[in-house]
Amino acid sequence: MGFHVGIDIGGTFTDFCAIGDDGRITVYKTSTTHYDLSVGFMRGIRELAKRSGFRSQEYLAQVHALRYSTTVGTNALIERSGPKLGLITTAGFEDTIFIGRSRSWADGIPVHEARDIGRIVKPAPLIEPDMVVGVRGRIDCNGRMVAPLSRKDVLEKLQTLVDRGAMGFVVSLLWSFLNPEHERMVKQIIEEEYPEDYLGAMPVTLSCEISPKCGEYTRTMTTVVNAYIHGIMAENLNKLGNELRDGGYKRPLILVHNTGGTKKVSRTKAVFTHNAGPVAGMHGAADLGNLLARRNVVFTDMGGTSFDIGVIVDGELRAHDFLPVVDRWRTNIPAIEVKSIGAGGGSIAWINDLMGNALEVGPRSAGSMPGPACYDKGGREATVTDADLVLGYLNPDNYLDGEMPLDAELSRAAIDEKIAGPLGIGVLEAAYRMRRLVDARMGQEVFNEVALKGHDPRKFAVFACGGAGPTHACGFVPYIGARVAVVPAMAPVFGAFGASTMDIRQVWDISRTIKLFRWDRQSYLDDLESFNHVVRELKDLSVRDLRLEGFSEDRIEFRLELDMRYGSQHNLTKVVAPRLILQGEDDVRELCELFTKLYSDIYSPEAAFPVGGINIECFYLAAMVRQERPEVHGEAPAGEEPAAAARIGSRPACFDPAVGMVETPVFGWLSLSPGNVLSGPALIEAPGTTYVIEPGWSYRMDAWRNGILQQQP
Amino acid sequence: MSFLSHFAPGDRPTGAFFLPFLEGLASAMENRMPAALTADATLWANAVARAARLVEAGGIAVGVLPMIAAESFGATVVRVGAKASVVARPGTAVSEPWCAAPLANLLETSRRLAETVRPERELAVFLSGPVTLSLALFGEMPSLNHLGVLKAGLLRCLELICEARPDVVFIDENWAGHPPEATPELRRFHNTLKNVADYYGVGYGLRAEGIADAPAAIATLSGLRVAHLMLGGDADGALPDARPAVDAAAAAGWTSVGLPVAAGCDVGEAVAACDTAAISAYLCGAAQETDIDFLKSVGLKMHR
Repeated sequence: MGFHVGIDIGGTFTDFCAIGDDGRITVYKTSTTHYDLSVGFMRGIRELAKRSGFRSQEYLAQVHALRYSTTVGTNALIERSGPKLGLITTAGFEDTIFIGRSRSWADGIPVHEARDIGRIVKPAPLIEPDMVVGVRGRIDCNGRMVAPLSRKDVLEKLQTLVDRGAMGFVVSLLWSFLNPEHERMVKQIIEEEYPEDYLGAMPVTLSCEISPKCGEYTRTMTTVVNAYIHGIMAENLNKLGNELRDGGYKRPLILVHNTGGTKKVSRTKAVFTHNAGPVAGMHGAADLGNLLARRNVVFTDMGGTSFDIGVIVDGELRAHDFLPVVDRWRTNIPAIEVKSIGAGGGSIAWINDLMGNALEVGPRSAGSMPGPACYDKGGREATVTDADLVLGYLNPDNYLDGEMPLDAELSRAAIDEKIAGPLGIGVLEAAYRMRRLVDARMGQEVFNEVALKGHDPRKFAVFACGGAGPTHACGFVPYIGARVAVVPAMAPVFGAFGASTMDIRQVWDISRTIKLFRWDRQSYLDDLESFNHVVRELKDLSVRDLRLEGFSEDRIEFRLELDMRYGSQHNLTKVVAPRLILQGEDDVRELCELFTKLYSDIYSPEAAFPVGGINIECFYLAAMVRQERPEVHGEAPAGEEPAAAARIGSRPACFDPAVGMVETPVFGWLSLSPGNVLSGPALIEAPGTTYVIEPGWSYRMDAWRNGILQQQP
Repeated sequence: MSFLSHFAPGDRPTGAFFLPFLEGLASAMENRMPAALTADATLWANAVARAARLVEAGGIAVGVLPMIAAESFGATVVRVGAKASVVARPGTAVSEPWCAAPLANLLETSRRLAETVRPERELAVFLSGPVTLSLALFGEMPSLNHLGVLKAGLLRCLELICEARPDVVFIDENWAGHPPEATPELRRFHNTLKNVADYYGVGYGLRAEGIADAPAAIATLSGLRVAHLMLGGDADGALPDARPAVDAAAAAGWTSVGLPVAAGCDVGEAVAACDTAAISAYLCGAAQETDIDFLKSVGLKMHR
């Protein structure tokens, strides 16, 4: 017996999901231990072992792969706990990262804060201005050297940084993605001055290796962020790796990447781990969507701290259309697009006196410590979980399968003190308003993500995941115009479930401008080798990398994506190339037509402008090795009527404060069978979550134990 | 050595274990007054670790006398030998007790010990509890209001101790003649503290000193729903009978019980009482112990 284990660390809970070779799934949730993530990690492993009938050591020895979406790097950025770095750039461009790009001061903050221009504050830089030096020497926009690099100048500037306390160096020179010669020379000089065998050796990170792409601000910031979190991540993951090895796990720890795949720790660039948890969830959603024949899916995950939204179109995960933000910095990594807002079970309700005492929920979260008031860890803020408890939706004795008893009195006291009292309303009314408000915020964000990106929401199925997803699905789904929501069987640990089934995958990218259709001659590209050469270069890189991981070339699958645009446009559209290598003009024409069709779908056919020329600006080659997964079999449906044993009781719950608490039937999810149908109002207590079936909604369990929530017309 | 580390995951530790209080011995070894020792975190941590090495103790216990800790909360305390008494009750509690001596020194000492003593030894930290502090600050058993005043400060102190990651934190209570009572308010108070310790993966226990009828008190205190109990002497320093205490603790559902021993007592009886499958029983110091031969002999008996 072996196991594939996925671990997803969130702001409030750390989720675990283990899939055995026999297809049996074991899940567990525990509080995220922010003071040392490895504590929660090892606690979960011990519990999985216990639930599978093994001792930790025996269990770990049987684990095929541990796939981990970590937030170590994210935390280092938030806490600004990275090392003091020195940045070496081209002379005259020392202020690039401080000037930023467009409204860079608003990057990575919630919309309502970004609108508050009077009080907005620029983020503290990861590298202080006095730690940036410019070196002479120049490469032009065609990759030709126009001024040589001066060794003497580099040495002087290097000494300046060392004297100011640099513990590592980032090198980002102009046009290095076209010609990296100067960056490599700088690295060589640093390594000669501070050889690895000396105690004073310092890591050097080159932009041409981390992010060989156009745009000096984003290229530099991607490299800076990577260098900033690299050391801390390496230290933490090595410690965790050692603990796991001591505990009996003999294989490499695998990290989930925000590009939609996984790689060993030793083959991972730090910046690719940012916000990987929701991407793992999206991967699981795409898989489940394929199983359920739902190709267009809106993936939502409401956890304790955030609400994540991702859109899957035609069964495919989509990378960011625009430059993704990591913490407060715009980067150019090819990350899968997931939007997160501060709305979760731990989101704190507050009274906004600047808005006439309006009730607000989030984005601040009580997190795992102290958590909502009802967690009884000293928290006194009123949160969404407190509201759900006061409304009777949560069973205080069965939260997290009874492992974390809740104290409803503390919830009532917190809501009374912080919300009901100041607003002059009752506690029940306040709790109800908190719930409706957070549902509305989530629903509006989902609508924006789908409709404002050119998709028809009615063609999408909403997947409601996360520990609080099934509790709030009936509340936020109607906002996008959908009447159906799918609650996956593994909803409470969906990120971990997705991680446990992920393939080995990495994306290699490079900026290269290739004119597929020339506006001046109105003709297609004839120098096919200019295209094919770039693809071969990326392919060689990926094959070499995956071979080092022990995979033979015949197991590697490739997928080529291209950033394309009409000649003089600014924004780019990502197109999946039908083939890796272009053989003739027909292939070029096909690619151009694909782009025009996609562009027309998004912006309308009127906006398409092929005569203006069609360019490729960036190449992304994803190399993937598929992992074996146990087959998932559906169960034969039983009747619509649940077994008597499935009804485990009833309790008062409120669905309308004017009516008050009404006795509501409670069902046990484990005792329900596929085919069973319930009508709202009803509550279903499942491992790690509670389903709230509001009046006017029905619930049906499908063959794979997913819940289909449907609003009556 | 792994005994106290079983407390946090909720396991029942097995085997023999001895957790003495060594600050008295450490003071003697350093030729300092106990108050001078605990006023300097570096000295305190180093000296107590040296004393533990000398007597080959399995665990290191650090804390301050329950009444002395009240000083950090705003009370005026006078030390007389190994005892302390409150001479001025402020009637309230300061908002940041962790910033003032002696708790500030205890926190720093805990941090230093947590980084240096493992894996050879385990670490237990003792923090004064709500009953003791209420008696010291308000002169009466804790009411709901008193608990409200104490909660935030005590919670933060516990959190800071837990951030150092000792193996266990014992809430140290001295009933000083007042009969113990497990009121619902007190139970909820402990529940909050226990949840915080649990978040940090640190065991949470209760030390009960100054109780007269040990078996009855053990049964009553189980109403607080804390898993681990460490006993002290009664108000006059007399030690409870080991066997009845172990039986009472097992019957009341405690996961572990610490039996106090001191030089001159019948250690054999206590050692024999520890030999039971019904509960995890171990030996602990009754008070600060300076008799090296005694400490070594008990250590030898328990850790052989």
